[in-house]
Amino acid sequence: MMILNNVNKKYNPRTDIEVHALKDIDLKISDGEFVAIMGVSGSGKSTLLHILGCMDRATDGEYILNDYNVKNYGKNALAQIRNEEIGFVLQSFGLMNDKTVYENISYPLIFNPAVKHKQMKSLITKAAEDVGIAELLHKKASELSGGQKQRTAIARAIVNRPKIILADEPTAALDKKTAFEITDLFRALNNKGRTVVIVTHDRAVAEQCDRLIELADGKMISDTPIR
Amino acid sequence: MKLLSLISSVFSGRKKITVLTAISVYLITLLFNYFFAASYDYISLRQYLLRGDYENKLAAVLISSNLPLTDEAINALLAPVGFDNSWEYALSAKAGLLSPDAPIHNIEEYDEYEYERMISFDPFTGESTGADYSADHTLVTYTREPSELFETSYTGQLPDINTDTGGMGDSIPVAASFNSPLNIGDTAQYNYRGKQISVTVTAKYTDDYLSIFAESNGRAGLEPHGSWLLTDREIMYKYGVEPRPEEQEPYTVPEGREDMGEYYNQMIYVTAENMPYVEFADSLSKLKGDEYYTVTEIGGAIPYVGALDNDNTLIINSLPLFVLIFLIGSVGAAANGFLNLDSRKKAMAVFDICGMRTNIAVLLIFGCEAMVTLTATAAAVITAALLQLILPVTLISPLGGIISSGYIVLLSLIMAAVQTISIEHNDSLDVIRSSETL
Repeated sequence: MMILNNVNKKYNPRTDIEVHALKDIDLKISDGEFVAIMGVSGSGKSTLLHILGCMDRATDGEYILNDYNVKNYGKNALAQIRNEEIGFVLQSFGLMNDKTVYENISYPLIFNPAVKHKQMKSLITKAAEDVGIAELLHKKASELSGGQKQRTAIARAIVNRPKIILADEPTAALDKKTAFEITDLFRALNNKGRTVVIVTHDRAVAEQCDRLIELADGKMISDTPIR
Repeated sequence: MKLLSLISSVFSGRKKITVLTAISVYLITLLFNYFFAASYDYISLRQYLLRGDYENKLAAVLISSNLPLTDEAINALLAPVGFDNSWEYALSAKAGLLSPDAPIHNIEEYDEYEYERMISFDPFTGESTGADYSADHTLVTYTREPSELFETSYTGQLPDINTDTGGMGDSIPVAASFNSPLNIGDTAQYNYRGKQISVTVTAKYTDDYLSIFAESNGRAGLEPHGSWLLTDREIMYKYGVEPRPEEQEPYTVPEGREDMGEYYNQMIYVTAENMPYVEFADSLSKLKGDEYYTVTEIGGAIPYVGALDNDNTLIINSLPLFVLIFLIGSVGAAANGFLNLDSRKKAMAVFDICGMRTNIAVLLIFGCEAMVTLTATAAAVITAALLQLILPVTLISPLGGIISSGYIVLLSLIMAAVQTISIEHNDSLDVIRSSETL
C-alpha cells in the first residue's frame, strides 16, 4: 500500500526560484490497484512518480510505503526498496543498448544480495517468458523494435518480483498497436496481483486502468474510478 | 562475478577512448619507470653526498711535487688566494699493502719507492700499474676521521693520535672498511713501501659509504675499488712507518730509471666557513702552482655535488620533458573517466532505478577507472621487467614500480571521487530520459 499524507514538494525552497511542484497531496493506492495518473506538462506527474518510487523525498508530509514511513529510511535503504519492492518502466526504455536482453534484465538481480549468481538464469528466463521475449535473450537491445525494448524493460522491472510497478509514459514512444499490447501486458501483471501505476498523456491508455488521478499545477484535481 | 558484470556494462561507453587511455597509461608508466631507474642512482648518491656537514664550501685540491709537501709549502701556495691556514689534510690513499707471500718479480731492479708505486696504483686513474697482482688493502690516512665528516658509522675504537699509546715498531692500529676481510682484533703482516709492517684492526666501518665516496671521487686520488685500512696520519709518523714531510728528501730520478712524474702527492681540503660560495669558487679558480709545485683543483666541494651533476646532465636536462610527459599522461589517464562520463551517467542512472546502493556505485566507478589504468600499469611494469631481462639496461626498480602504481591508484581514486560527486547529484530518471533523446 502506498499512502501520501499532505505531501508537498518544493524545489529550491526559500529562494527566489522556488518551485512548488506538489501541493497538499493526499493519496492512497491499495495493493493490486491499476492506477493512471494524468496531467499536462508541469502538473507534477513526474515529481509524484519520483516520490512514489523513492527517487526523491517530500519536502513536507509523509509517504508511507507498506506501513513504513519512507522519511525514516537512508539512501541505501531506499535503494533496497527500489530493488525489491518497485519496478520502473520508462518512456525511453532505459536499456543499455550494446548489452543483450539477458544482461539488461539481470541488473536488479545483481543488486539483490539475496539472489545468488546461479539463480539468476532461471529468474531472468521466467521474467522474459512472462513478457513474451524468451527467444530474444541473446539479442542486443539495439537490435530490438520499440515494443520489444519496452517488453525488455518490463521484464527487468518484474524480475525481482516487486509488488509495485511504476511506469512513466511507457507507451509514448510506441505506435498505437504496440501501445495497446504493452498496456495489455500491464493489465496482465496487475491481474497477477501487482500494483501498477502508469503516468501517461494518453487517455486511451488511462482508460485501460481501473482508476484515474488527474493533476494540475501540483494539485490533485480528481480521483475517479474508471472501472 | 556480479561486480565484474556491472563493470563490463559501464564499459559500454566509447571503447576507443578506453583503449587510447590504456595505451597512454602504458607508455607513460614505461617511461616513468625507465626515468626513475636511470635517475635513482644519481638522486640517491646526490642525497648521500649532501649529508656531509661541509655542504658546498669545501674544495678538494691535489698538490704534486718532487719536493716534500710540508705545511709551510702548502700554506705558501694557498696564501695568494687567502686560504693559507684554512685547509686540512684529506683522506689520503698512501699505497697498497701486500701480503708477504705475494710473488714479487725483479724487486732488485727498483728502489723501494718506485717499486711500491709500480705495484699499487696510479693516484689519478686509480688503476693498478704494471701489476702481476693487486694489493690486499689500500692504506689510507686521515687527519679528520671519515665519520666526523660523513654519515658513516663504525664499531670498535678508532685509531686516534690523542689516545694512542703505541710507538715505533708496534703493530699499527687501523680501522677496516666495510668490505675488508679483516675484523676487529685481527693482526696481519704486510709489505708497505719496501718494509714489513704489522697492523691490528681496532675498528670496522658498518656501512659501505667509503666505497661510494671513493666512487664519486675517483679523480681525488683514492682507490675506487678494493678494501681500505685507515689510520691517523700522525700515528704513521709516530710508529716510524714513514717520515714526516719535513724529514723527507726531495725526490730525484735515479740514473737509468724511469721518471715517475711528480713523486709526492697530497690531497687537501680547502675550507671556507663564512665565505659566500660564489666568492669561494672565484678565489679557488685563481689558485696556481709554482715552478716546484703543481696545483690541481679536483673538486669544488666535498661532497662534490657539482661533479655528480655534470656527469648526469642528460638526466637533469630531461627532467622538464619528463614532467611534461607525465602530466600529459595523467590527463590521458583521467580522460577515460571524463570522456566517458555521459555513458557512465546513463549506466549509473539505470543501475540507480534498479536499486544500486551508494557504496556499490562508488566501488563500481573506482573499479572502472582502476581496471583500465591498473591493467595498463601492470602491463607496462611487466614489459619493463621482461625487457630488462633481455637488454643490458635498467628499466625498472621495485621502488619505481611501486611509486608509479601508487600514483595511478591515487589518480583513479581522485577520478572516481569526482565522477561519484558528479553522478550523485543527477536525477536518474531525467538522465535516462535525456540520454535517449540525444
